[in-house]
Amino acid sequence: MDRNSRLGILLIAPLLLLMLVGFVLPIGATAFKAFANPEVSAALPRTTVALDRWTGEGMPDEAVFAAFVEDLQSPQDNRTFGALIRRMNFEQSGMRSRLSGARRAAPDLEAPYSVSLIELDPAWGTPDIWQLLRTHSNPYTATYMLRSMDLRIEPAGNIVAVDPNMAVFRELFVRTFVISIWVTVFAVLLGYPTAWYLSTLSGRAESFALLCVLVPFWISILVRSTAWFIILQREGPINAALLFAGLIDTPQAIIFTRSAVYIAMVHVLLPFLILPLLSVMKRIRPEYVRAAASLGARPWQQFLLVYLPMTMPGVAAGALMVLMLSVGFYITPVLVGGLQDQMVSYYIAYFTNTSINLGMAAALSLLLLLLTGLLVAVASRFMPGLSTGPRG
Amino acid sequence: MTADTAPLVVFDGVHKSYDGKVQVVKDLHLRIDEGEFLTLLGPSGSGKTTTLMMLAGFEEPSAGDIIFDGRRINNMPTYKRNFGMVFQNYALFPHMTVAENLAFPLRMHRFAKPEIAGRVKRALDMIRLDSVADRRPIQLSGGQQQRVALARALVFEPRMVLMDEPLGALDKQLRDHMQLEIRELHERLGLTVLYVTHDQSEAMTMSDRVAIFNDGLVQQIGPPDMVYDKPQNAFVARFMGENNVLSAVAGQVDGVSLRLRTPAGAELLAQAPDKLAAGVASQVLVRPEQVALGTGKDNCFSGVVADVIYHGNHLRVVVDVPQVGRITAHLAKSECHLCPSEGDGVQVNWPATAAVAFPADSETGA
Ligand SMILES: Nc1ncnc2c1ncn2[C@@H]1O[C@H](COP(=O)(O)OP(=O)(O)OP(=O)(O)O)[C@@H](O)[C@H]1O
Ligand SMILES: [Mg+2]
Repeated sequence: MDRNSRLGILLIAPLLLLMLVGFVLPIGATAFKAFANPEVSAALPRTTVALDRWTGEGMPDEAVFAAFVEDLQSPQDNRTFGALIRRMNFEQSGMRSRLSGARRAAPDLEAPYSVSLIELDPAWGTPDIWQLLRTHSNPYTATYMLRSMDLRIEPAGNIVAVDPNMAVFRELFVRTFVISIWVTVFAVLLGYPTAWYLSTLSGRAESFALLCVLVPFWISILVRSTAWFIILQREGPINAALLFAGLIDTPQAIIFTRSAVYIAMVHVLLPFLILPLLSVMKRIRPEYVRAAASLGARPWQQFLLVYLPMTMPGVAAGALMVLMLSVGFYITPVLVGGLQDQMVSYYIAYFTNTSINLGMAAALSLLLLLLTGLLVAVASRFMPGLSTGPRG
Repeated sequence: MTADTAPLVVFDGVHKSYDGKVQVVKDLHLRIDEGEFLTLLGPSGSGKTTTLMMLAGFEEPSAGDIIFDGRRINNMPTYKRNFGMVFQNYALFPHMTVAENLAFPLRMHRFAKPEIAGRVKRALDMIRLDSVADRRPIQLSGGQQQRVALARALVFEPRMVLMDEPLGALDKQLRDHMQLEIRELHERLGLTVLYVTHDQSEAMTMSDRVAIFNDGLVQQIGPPDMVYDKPQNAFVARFMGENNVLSAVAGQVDGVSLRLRTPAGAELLAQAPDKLAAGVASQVLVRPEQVALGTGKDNCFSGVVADVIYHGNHLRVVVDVPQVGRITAHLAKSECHLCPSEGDGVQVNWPATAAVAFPADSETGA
């Protein structure tokens, strides 16, 4: 047994390694990034130590001011300081100019710094700014995760909602899941009859129909989304046809609307529903429906009581696949949707590429992952076929 | 089986073609009486299932009528026909428990709740499976699934039960047991059964009448012993049981028997159900159990034993007869002391009444 199990482990070792490299490590790194907060302690090491000794009540003493100015005077590379500025400005706007100003003036400041620094900028005379620095001198922070839920932590430590005009993420997550659920619903409604029809074909007709389902699979999602961009645009063939038919007088805005997102996403994701469903339907022999008929079931009863329940595992597998994929969809909404139709991935890309705030990007990813997991857990409670898998 | 009452089912000149070209069932005339157990027997692809499907309402006849209880039912949907069906793979609904499967036809026929519970209980008792009522079909053995499928087809008291190779997936022992069980149910409940099989021993044990199918045509229909002992054509004779097949040319009729001559010049005596004109190339069929060792009145030839095979309850002695060909004889175990060994010279004989002659080209039955 030992030899066999060792051999077994050896055989699946590449898989385990792949899981580790491709799955556990990236998710672990993301989770870490979502909570990591190294900027303040890296750029202001002495201040960090000094702030640690401060009670946090009232104004800090001269030792803190001295440590802070010393940190600012010490030669350090611009990257570390730049990271600090970006990080603090994200927490509280205005911190950029305040910190840069203090750094520029630091070489000329004279003791006692608790006087000269406040003369330079009265903001340094308020406890809030020091509490902010103190909070973020901790190497871990919940800021990103809280912000992903439109919450923030006050310097005093209590969690409150962010300004209404800065609250975007809750709505973003709700929108992402609403779009994904509707895409899944549409895909099921369109895909079920299609898969059923395909399952009744045989021979050449079957191969041809299957090819029609598979060909879009071989074309990249980017290309297919671009095609929808062309089709749906104001001067595109759909508007032209509607104008020609006299159904509309002026070209309608289809592109950059929610409808465009639904149309393109359902089209792109439909094969993921049809294929698992088809494989389940193919395995259901006609005897089952015939047995139901011989036992007195009318056609609608044959469908609802026998065929549908027997195909449910396929529906569940396909719908789950579509749901998971649409939750993480990026390129299609970007191409055919408006700003109000963007999903979480759009903001993850934005924080990664544009505003270089990896903490936010990681926090959004982690939250998306957790919410998707939650959704699957809830769904598998209500769709029993999901856990048992398809059966013939 | 009584001629004076109207039959329950009549196939009246029914044809069926799936593609408009090949006739899978040709000019079928079949009557099934109330309470009768009729088996359709035939090789693969002979149209048995197709016939059953037309009666069940899954296929429509291309021509002809199907009459049930005096009404033409060609286009009646299956759910209105009220026939219980048992399929080869049982077709138990995998998402329902055994009890739910049994309750399904009762729900469909709008039985009252307490009535459903009572009948399901009785059905489970009947198949001695009340302990598995809450299991899924997949958790049952093949034989148990078979019994549930049977009970499900009977629980709503259909006018008739159709079974398409219901025992095909069971092992030999279980199959023998289930044959008796089905036969017993048939007798106890007075069921009308149309049964499809390609296993002839199954057909022989269970049926009141057997219809032999080949190539879409009924070759012969009658009680099992009639079909076995008095085959009407070469196909039936060859399909039912083992045969020695000898080629010969028809000669003169001699009393009740026909004289035939083998190519090697030996003379054979046989029965000819169809008239055979002199000079017609023919086949003579003799069952091995009719062949005896030793001298006899008719059809007596000497040969050399080529092989002796032990076969459980009997021995098979293969004898090379130079004038006739190779003859297989069955010897009961009790006659073992008579048994020759390989290479011995022996005499074989069989009565003229036990040999049947058919034209050599009647094989296809078409
Ligand atoms: N749905 C169908 N479409 C086209 N041809 C069919 C169909 N069902 C059966 N056939 C053809 O009809 C012929 C008779 O088939 P059928 O199933 O009735 O035979 P069977 O006697 O039941 O054979 P088996 O013992 O193998 O079950 C076969 O040649 C088969 O290929
Ligand atoms: Mg068949």
